[in-house]
Amino acid sequence: MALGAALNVSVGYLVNLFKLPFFLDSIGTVLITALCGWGYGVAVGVSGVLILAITANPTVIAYVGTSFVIATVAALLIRIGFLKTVRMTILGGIVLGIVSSASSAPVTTLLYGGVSLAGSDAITAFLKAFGLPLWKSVLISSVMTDVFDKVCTGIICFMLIRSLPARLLARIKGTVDSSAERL
Amino acid sequence: MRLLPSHTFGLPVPDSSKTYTLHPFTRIIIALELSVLVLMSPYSRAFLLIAVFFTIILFLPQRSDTRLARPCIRLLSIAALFLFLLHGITFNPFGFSENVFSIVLASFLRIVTPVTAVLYLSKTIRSEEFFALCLDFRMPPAVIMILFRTIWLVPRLMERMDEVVVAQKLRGIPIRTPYQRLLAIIPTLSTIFSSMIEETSENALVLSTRGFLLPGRKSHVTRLSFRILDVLLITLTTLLMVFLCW
Repeated sequence: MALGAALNVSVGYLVNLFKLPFFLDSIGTVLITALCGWGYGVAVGVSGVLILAITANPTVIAYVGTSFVIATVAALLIRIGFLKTVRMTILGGIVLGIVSSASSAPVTTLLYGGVSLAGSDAITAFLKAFGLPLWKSVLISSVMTDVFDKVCTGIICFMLIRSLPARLLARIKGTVDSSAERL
Repeated sequence: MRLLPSHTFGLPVPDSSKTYTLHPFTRIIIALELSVLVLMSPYSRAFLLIAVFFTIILFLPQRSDTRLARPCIRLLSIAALFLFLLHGITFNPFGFSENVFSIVLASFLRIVTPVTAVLYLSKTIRSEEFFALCLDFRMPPAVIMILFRTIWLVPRLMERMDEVVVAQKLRGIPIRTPYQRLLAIIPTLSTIFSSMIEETSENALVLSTRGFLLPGRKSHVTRLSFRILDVLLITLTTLLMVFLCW
């Protein structure tokens, strides 16, 4: 769980290092949800947001509900084949992106006046300047970036699960005795 | 006796002085009360208060290793810029909107308040004090361990990522376009994740061996004492908050 939360925080750093146009800040949540289940996924999402809030960006604390929603929807999607095939992963990523943007847009609009301190702010400002209402601008820009981000997250998690050694996967899933490893 | 820069403009304050060793709980209460005070005040007063608090916090001596001042200033600058762009500029017709000052100010206050509170706490509470506070407040040991293992893992993971990324660059992997960068990033994640699982497993084994999974109360070596000064400060800030919010 700690590794999943750390992965959420650190992949953001890696993305920044490579100057990629998205966040990939829920890789740990989706991955741990797929490997260990819904409860662990929620714990990873929430603790990742808390750590990010006290170490880098305090405003992300308001998005704790979004990480809960991501873990829950990911767990539901995994039941119907998310991360099993590439097609299902892309479809699941699109659903995850729409749901996550729908859950984060009210926070961005009502609490922070439309500013999410991410790359999507430029798109929001552009749409708002053309006369769209603030909530629509935030929602559209959020969907545009989040869908792409979650599809990439899904594909990376799919490839990660495929590339992990079977021995490691068995240990994470608990088929080999490793109760302490879930810490 | 080790002397440290003072809160009081240049006079040395000993490491063991009462003002220097406030209980972390007092600091958390002060941060919460100041946040409530700012959010409950009218905009003009709130802006003045937060500007004063932020300036004082910037000049407080650094007690912890977490250095958030620069990222926080950058964050606030970006927020101010985008709030102005979002609410101030129109394309149809092209120009600046009037009467946006209050909307921008209200949103900016909601961003700057948590940032200021976290900056204050990160500068004044050491990680070992926070750990001791969590144990004293009977937080479940599993939650504390996950929190602190994550904090420990983040720099380790970043260091590992740096190593792998540098190795990839030295191998001559092309990273000119976003697609090439994405192709470069994916194989590195698998390697990093596998190696970190091994490291976390070893760490978990050490924790288990040292009795972490055993039932019972966990101990800590950092002594936290709640003194008269803590009570006085909490009372004072509460009175100030009630008086100014009235």
